[in-house]
Amino acid sequence: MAESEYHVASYVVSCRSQDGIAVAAAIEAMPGLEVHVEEKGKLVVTAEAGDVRELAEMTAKLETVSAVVSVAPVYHEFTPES
Amino acid sequence: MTVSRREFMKANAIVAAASVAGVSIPAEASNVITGEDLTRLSWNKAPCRFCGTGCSVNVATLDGKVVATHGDIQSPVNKGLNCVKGYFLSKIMYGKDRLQTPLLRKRDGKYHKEGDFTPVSWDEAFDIMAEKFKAALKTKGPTSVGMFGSGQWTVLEGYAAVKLMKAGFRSNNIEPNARHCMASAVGGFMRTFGIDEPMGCYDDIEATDAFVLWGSNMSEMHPILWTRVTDRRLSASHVKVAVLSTYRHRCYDLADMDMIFTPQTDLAILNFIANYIIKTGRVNHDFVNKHTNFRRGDADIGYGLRDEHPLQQAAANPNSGGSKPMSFDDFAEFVSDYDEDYVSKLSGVSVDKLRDLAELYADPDRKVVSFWTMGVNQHTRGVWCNNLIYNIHLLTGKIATPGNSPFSLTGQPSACGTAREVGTFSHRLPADMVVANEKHREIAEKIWRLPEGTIVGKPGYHAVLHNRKLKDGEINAYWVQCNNNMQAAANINEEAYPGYRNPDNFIVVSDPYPTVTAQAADLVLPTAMWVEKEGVYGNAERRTQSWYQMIEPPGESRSDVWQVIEFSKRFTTDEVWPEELLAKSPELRGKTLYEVLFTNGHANRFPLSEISSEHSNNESEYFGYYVQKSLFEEYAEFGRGKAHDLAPYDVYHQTRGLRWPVVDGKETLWRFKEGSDPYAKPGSDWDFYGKPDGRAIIFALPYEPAAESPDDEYDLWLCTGRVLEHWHSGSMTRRVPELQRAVPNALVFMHPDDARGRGLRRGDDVRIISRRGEIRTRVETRGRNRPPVGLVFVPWFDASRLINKVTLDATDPLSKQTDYKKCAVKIEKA
Repeated sequence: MAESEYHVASYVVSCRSQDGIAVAAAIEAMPGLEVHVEEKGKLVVTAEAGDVRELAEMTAKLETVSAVVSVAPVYHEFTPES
Repeated sequence: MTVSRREFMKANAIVAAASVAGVSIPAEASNVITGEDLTRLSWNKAPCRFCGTGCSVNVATLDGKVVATHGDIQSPVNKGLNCVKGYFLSKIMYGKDRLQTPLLRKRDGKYHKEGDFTPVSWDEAFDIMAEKFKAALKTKGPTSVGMFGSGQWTVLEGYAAVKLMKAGFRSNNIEPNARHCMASAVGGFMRTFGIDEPMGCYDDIEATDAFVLWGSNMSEMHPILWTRVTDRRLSASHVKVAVLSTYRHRCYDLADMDMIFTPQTDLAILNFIANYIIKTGRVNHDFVNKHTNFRRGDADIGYGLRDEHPLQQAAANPNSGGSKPMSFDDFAEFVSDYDEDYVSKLSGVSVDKLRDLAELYADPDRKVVSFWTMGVNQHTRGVWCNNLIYNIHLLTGKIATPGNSPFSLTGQPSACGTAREVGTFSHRLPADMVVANEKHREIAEKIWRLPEGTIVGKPGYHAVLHNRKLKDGEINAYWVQCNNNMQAAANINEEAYPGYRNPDNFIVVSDPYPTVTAQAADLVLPTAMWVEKEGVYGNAERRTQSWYQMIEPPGESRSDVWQVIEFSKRFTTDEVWPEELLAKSPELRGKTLYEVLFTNGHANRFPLSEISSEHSNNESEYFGYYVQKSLFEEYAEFGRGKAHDLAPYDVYHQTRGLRWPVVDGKETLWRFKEGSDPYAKPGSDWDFYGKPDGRAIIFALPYEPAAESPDDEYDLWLCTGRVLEHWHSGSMTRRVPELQRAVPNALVFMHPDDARGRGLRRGDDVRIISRRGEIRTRVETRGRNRPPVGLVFVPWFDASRLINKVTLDATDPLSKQTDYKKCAVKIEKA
């Protein structure tokens, strides 16, 4: 895949509500990933990447965060840089 | 790209996820959206291309390309969520090796069986194809041509193919690959209820108190439904999840009750549960007396192998689906053999766990959903296994009410809508009708405006027989659409490959990609896929969904429906019908099959002016009428008024699908229950109207062993299946870089003790050997699938490691579905 792409994706990450803050902090610490909302164990997370490989790796990493019960992808858009 | 564009994309992503999660939308996202930005992308809904769940996806196009997807928040199925496959859906169309032109094997400028694939025009492709089909029909008649389709065909594609084969060529040799996946479920429904497809729906998930998984890895295979199951379990503490399988998989992470059973002993466990319900006095006698009959099924029915196979010869009642009436007391005595000690020893499941499981069903205050997929269907006693699951729901009356649901899940996006409802099987016609029934043939001939006697009453060859008949030279002209059977069929070394390469045969494969099957063909036709055409799918809960064409297919690609209809122009009735049939309808003499089947005034009655003004519709523009609507409305005539009612075609473009029967504009959530199903007779309470007396059948059926079990030499069970990231044979998902990177090659999953016992370590190169063939792969002793000692698991998506060289083509003798879950192998260091 060409490097001159911009990808953005979003996920709903679920955990028990008492783990919400810790999970958010762990995700925020990972480059390219951002937590926009944390409410009662539901997190809205985006990933930005320059190619699909990076994006796929970020998706995989989300699933390994301790206390995460599920990672549900919601949105994906990509476009060549111009 | 401007920063604002990037911010806009990100804001869209945030808004979509926040809406799905039901949380407030952060200000950073809500401020960015402007009217100008919103107009850049054109969004439309489409059902996902992959599994039978039937998620709705919003698809965005820009400059003729799909650039974004997100879960459709308006969809009652997925409520805005996606799985990993749906998430990267936009890329299935953009694999680098997408086929662009027809390819014909040629040597010295003309067709040659051993020639090299050479680009040709559609005209040249259809010339040679018509020549070969005509030659076969002329010399050997209708049984010498065949077609192999798919539960990935749209409803319209499957319907057009059935018409061409069953009415045009008068050949019943048409089968969907759903035979490998759903045939036992169909057999189970028809035998117990007399009508196909689940009575319940996904709404049962939020209404139930317990889930029991019988041979279904929903976590990986139906992740969106699994998310709904997980949400139900985590939000209601009394809910229990029981998982049964022959190896540990991801669903066990959520299981309150986890059981690993010895392959094939599910039959005994199900009979134990029936016995437990009776012994503990929890039969719902009121329900049983009013709504069921008991029958003793024929036993010792063989293994669906070739007739000369020793196992077939040894069977007392080979292929028999016969049964005799029996009383409740006889049934109670029959299942009394299946006591906890015997079944525990046989299955390897502890007595305590068996009791806990049975108690879920027996407890009158607990609602239960049973889910099953290939573990039950790909089984030499698959129909029986389906029947036995219904037994325990019927004995307790836990059926067809919210939260009480025996639910057979499907694998393909339109296994229900196309393969089953359209009836693309060798024995079927639309709306559960069959070719063997004279009245059913008459109905079809009337709707199709054809003379009486056009449709042949003898069922055609089933899927596994297709490959055997190709090998034996009895089918000579063969068309494969929308599937990858050279990879998917069992025992390809001995049956499928020799069949395709038999010099007497001409094999055509329509596919977007050069699959293993395409490479084994003589002619390859490049095919439009998913949103490159308008289509309709039907999911596992009877939901019919449609979508518009959104983009142009690449190069010379054409949709399956275009291919079928265009090909029909090459034949006249005189060439393919016998004189006695022509004499009955002299006005059809000399007409093309295109005129007779697809433009007879009825089959093409919706004009071009009715297509969407905002979308292309290549087929309709080419043929000059609204092809999809005309086919759909003609097809719908079969089911309306017969408990298979579909809504008017245009309604499906406006809704996120409707569950049939749709009567007076209303969909049906629970069939057979008075009050929720308009077909249940007033005063009946429950009405199993698929049977003439309105009663479902409880069957007495025994445990019988597998076709092949491990022995001293071949000392391991082999089970095959899928993994989350790949669907079908991987011909689409393996072209999505993210999915391919995550799981690039099929490994053999085995227990560490089994590895150690053979001097093997994780990552070692090994040979998996059966009596039929062998493959090489690497050992995995960790990871997501954890088999018990004595069993190994190999996924089948990997075209470079064809596990079906190893599997046995034993089938269920009733459904003819292959058992991919059980054969004996040995493993050696390579």
